Amino acid sequence: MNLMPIIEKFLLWIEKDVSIEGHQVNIERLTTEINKYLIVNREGKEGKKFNRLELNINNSIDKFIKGDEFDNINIINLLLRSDINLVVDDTSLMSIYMQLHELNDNSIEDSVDNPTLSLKIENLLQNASWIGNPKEKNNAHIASRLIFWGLKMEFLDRDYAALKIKLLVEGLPLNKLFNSNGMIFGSSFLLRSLLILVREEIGAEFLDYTKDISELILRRLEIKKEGVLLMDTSIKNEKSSILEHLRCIRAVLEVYIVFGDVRFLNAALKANDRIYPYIIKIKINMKMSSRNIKKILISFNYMKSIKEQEKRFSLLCQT
Amino acid sequence: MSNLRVAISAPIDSNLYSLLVTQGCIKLENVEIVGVIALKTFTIERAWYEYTRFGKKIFRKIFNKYFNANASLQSNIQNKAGEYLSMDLGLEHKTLKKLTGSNNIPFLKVESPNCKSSLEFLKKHSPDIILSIGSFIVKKPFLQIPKNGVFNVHMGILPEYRGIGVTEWPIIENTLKEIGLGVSLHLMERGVDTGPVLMKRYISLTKGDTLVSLESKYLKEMVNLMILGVQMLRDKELKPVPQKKSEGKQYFETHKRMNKLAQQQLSCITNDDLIR
Repeated sequence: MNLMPIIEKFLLWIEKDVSIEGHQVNIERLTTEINKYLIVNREGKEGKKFNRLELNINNSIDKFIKGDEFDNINIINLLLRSDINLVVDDTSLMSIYMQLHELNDNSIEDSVDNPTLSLKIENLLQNASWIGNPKEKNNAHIASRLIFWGLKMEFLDRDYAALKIKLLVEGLPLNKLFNSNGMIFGSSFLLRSLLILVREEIGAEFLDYTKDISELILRRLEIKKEGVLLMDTSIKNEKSSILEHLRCIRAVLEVYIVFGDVRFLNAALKANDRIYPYIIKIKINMKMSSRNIKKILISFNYMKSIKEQEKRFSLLCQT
Repeated sequence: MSNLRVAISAPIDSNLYSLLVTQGCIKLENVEIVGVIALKTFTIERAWYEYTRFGKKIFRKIFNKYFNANASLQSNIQNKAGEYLSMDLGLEHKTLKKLTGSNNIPFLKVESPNCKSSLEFLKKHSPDIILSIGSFIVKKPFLQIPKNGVFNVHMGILPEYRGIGVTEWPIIENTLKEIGLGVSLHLMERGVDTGPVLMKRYISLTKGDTLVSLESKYLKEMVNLMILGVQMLRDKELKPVPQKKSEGKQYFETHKRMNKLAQQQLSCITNDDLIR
């Protein structure tokens, strides 16, 4: 009996790789589920909170879905003034809103200072350490998250952000980024903030550190080839790890954009393929539970990551 | 003039590159092969190492190697290149066991180059140099055995292209003119391809080359460079050039789409690009 065709068939089954078409099908499914979720929950608890802030969030989401422009700055400022905690929690509607803004890719024209945000960062940094106890580690993570969003949405003064980032960088020596538990949770926000700063003169002092930390993440992704990076965190939750992992992939793509080093785009292509089996299991229901909202955030980050990857890969092919 | 004592660390008993290097060294004057180690064909440690390195591709590699040797174009081309070299060097045996046996060279099959039996075997034969064939990571105790270090031929130009996939990367990064493709003989260190560079040989591109046809050109250059390195060490003509970390990067396996891109770019190469 000739076993070769059977072995060949078996090998083809093993080798069946994730394709870009597979990613796109996944994205379409997730988009449909998220839109359904947003429409169903307009009148929910958090939706009402938004309405009290005189925001027509329903209208904004409609506009987002339709692709119209809307005024991000006022919405974000109103929200920040009302409840700063909305931005630090991965499971809040505010966090989703910020992701929506990012997906929309509209640039914000005016920069707005926000004293509330600076105050929050100051308070967190007073008791923050990347290598301290869980509370201190979490404070370092939240501070980095706030600085990143502040820089990204252009409502945090860059000189101020650079000063605070310097403190966070000094507190995270390169040999401490990974420990036996995994990568320090939340450090993706530090790298992404650094990548915003090093594009300008103000970030020159962080250039070597940014390159070194990027290289460490690249090596970890390429050598360990983990489906989801192991994370050093007190939150033992797979969804949180997936979320941070996706933020790392996005950081790696941003490294490619800033430094033009194709190894990072290559690593992102592979990491996005490895995360695919986890994403395919994500099913968004209509419940306003924190678990469900985390799934939506995972979906947003995944969609953004694939979108960016494809944009960059197609540009590379053209050159 | 006393003989240069050479030990060889091979990936498997039937590895063509190892056979050719061993045969080449046997023919050198004032060079004595004091021992050859080869990895056992299957060990859990090895299987895991290969899987982490090649991922799912390892199953295809095993299939092609042991059950379907003539199936792939690559193995055909490689075999052909190997055949010519074998004729040049007068290689008659198909395994290291037979080759070493017929030349009275001590031979041992080991689980890993770093395992106890390997280290004891090599220490006992006190080599001046070890030729490391293949890309197994060797640890400090292994590196400390030979007086003159461990030679390795890297499939890429050092210091610029360290790591793997370094045939595709210079094509993707469009550095064929400035850096080119080739092989580098270097002394091994704990870091990946970071040791002092001894010699380089460039591989010439020809119009119509594919990634597969390029691979076949490497074998000849790697064998020749390793043997030349031994000759030059014997004659005290080698001048190691230390690498600076900043002079190069470590590369990793290319994603299948990157690989396809490299192949496409290779097919667009014009005469103007074929400078090296």
